[in-house]
Amino acid sequence: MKNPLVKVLAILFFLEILLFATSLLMPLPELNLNGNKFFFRFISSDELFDFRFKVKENATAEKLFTNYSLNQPFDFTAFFKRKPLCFGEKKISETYFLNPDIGNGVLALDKFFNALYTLNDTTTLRIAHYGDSQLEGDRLTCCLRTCFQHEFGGSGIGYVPFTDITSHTQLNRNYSANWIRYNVFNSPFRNNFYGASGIVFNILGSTFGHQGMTAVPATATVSFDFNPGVVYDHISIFYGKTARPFRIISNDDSLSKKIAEDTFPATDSFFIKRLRVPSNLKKLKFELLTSSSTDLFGFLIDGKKGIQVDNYSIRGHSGDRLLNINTEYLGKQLKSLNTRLVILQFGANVVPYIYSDADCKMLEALFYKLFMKFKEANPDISILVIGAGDMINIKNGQETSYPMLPKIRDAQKNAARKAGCAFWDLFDAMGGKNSISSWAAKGYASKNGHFYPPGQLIVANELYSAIMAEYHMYLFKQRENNLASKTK
Amino acid sequence: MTGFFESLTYNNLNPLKFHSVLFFVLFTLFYLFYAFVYKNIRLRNVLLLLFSLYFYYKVSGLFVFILILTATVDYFVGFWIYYLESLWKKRFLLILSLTVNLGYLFYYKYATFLMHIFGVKEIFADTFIDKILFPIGMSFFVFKSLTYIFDIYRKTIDIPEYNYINYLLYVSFFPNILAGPISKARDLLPQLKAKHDITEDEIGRGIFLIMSGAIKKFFIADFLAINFIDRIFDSPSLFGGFENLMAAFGALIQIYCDFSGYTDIVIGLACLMGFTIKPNFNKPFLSQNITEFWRRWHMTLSSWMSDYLFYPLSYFFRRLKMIGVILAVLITFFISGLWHGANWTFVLWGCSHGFAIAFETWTKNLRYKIFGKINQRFYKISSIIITLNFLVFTIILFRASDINKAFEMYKIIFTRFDVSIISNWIHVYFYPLLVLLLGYILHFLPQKLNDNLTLKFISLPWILKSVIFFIVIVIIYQTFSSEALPFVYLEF
Repeated sequence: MKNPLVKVLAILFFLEILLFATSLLMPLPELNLNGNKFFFRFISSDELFDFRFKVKENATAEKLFTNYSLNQPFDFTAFFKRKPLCFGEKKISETYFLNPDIGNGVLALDKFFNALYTLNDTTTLRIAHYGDSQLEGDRLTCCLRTCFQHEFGGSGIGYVPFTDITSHTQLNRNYSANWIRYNVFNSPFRNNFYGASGIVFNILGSTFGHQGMTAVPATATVSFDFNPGVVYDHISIFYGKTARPFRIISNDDSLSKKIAEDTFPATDSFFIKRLRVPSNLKKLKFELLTSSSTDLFGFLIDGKKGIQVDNYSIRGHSGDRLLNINTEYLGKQLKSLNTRLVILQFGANVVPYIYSDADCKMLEALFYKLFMKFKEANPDISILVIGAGDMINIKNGQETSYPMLPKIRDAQKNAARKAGCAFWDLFDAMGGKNSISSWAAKGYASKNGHFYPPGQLIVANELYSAIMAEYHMYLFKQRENNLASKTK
Repeated sequence: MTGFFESLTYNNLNPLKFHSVLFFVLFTLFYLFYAFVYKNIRLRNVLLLLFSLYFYYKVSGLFVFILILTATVDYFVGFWIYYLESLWKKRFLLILSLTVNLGYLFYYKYATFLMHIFGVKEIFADTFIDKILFPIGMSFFVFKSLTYIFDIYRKTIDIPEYNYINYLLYVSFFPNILAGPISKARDLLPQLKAKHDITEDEIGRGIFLIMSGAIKKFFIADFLAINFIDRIFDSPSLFGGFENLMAAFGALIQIYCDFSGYTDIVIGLACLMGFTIKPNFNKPFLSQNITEFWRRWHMTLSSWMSDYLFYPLSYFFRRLKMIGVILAVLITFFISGLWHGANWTFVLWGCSHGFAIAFETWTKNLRYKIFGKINQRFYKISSIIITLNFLVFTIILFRASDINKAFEMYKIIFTRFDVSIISNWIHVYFYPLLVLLLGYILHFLPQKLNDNLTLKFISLPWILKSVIFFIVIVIIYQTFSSEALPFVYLEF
């Protein structure tokens, strides 16, 4: 080959032959190495020879989006003005929402619905929304809370931890550097007496005292600047074991003025105590002064009555480590808080690591154990499980849903059914396989399954509508029962 | 070959990419003809022109006519400027060319931005102005064409280009039409008129550059963007200060690998056809100050800005002495920022670099004195570290989608720097961290090592070259996304 350009052609042709040959000769598109943990991929003949442009839209997801007009500026009130459901309206397909019979015609969510039905003007009924980074910083929960409070009353933003690695959607938070944050997932506490959220805070410097060595006074601060639109009646401190009383000085941060100084008693269990802080102050600064180790859980920012949805999220978590919380302690907390519905939204963090049916079986057993723990902790609560949503996996150069996602969803659903919990299928509600591409293309979610604000609104509204459809079925059943008893 | 013929027409959802199988096939077909006609200058240039125009059509559709119009206007204006005697007529034509070229750029690139600034976006909502699409590569081909006009006007080029095909080819030359490097007329036009004897050395170097560019782009830049950086820059508030800072370090190496990878591929393709395109990068993170950085980063743009903006401005402000120089620097960098994108983030990024260079110019003598008094090695290393950190902090402005997100990142880095999450972060982002480190290590490796590797590759027989190329493709494919991200600089 005297002409060097012919050599380039030879290189190009030989290269194409090699690519073609591997695409034909490789019996599988990928070689499984290192026990399912790494796949060596080969270019498929389709990718080499199919030049058609593949449209990635998911028809179900696109259809769902047409129900929502998410133009800016966003009209939140108009958004939640949905068509009122009629008593006895047709039940939503079980493929989306499962509310199983747990015996004697009682359905999984009936305990919660009963509490909702008998909700009076003086109590606050709480919903605990547990999850991973999907919910961090009150995301998704805030939309769900708006839905519930819009229909059943209530104000405030519920549980707010002292610190977090993410910012909060409803407030701007600043805190001193001496907070120590323990959580069930990756920063375990010295015992299993965690808060209901799975988190405990200590103040650096005060921990030695707890172990009976020396009592070292310590002060930590946290300040909140609430977003416009946040309305609340009162603020409570939620804390656990503490050897000695501690004090909280509350300041109006906009005026740099002290409002109140409260002293809270020592306890071997936990307390929820109100702070003497006026309603709806926009900027607040709290100074927490302790002279012994104090296990603090967070603030509760609540209304006088109605519904409250607490956000209990831990990044990276799959829910399993909630098993580490002392069951009795958890049960007492849920009871004191008047939590009547526990929503467990996990699964996204296990999706990339589930490869086989055996893994799914193991997952099912683990989730069953978790759901049963909550049932054991407080038998008076209802549990709603939200399945893992769609997530992108890049495979063979193509973006597709994780192949095991439907099976993971089924494992969660089976575990929920067995434990007598309700189940909402987020994966199908999103549009099923490859729907996340459509969500991502619209800017509603990232490809790894995290919802952006418009996506959060859609998911929360779909979930809320599904719960309400079941609630109306419950009301219908109640009315029928009442009529029947009157007739007798 | 399902759908091959349908794929030959423009599809706005699927424009042609350098890294697509379709480009690989089209280039092979083109090269099949090129190999036999390349010794005949006229035939070679006609073939190159046709392929270049087709390539641009496949990327931008009917905007190819704007490219032809721009080149045609400047082809004639160049003549008139050369032949007219009167200075004011020359000036008039120069202004005419500037108006046409910058007019396109302003209309397509800045109309929406200006409407936003003047608060009239709502007035034009749903009108044609609201739906303007920016043709890919316009910033580059407009600058390329203007270079020719400036050079004719300033007599840097002896005579204008008579051959229309050559001129159109100079503006539309497919390897560097989309994102540079910006070739000056005096560099590329003589090559288009000359006969080339393509050597084995050029071919080996070309293939090596294409491979190294692909590794930089797909293995490092895209992997980091998809698996780490995009997540943080999308929602910085969901992450802590440490993660935001790591994302900024990642973004710097990502943009470098993305753009220098693209440049390597472009230079490599040009090499295969016997053309030399000037490089754009020379280990920019080894710079000891920002002035030096701009001599090592996007060198062709810096050279363009120096020749046609900074020096004329310095001359204009010459009576103001030092203040004049600083003013020229600030204006140049303000425009350079705006050139990168119609967004305040780019304007601020450009201005931050402008202020840094202005500061360096102002304190030049003082720094020389310090340099003389302290350990030189320490001075150099600390200068490199300080410069690198400045680049990391300013790249946040460059990479963030809007100014609020950029400021949010700064706030998080300085107020929520929680070191307790580092071990967890390393556990979760272990592979992105490895790739990030690899990116910086490869950058800091001595140039000599790269040169030796190139020479070794050149000396290999062609069949081994093919096998190595194949292995590189297979390795890249392990991290490759079907929606591999577009080259960052295509957006400018």
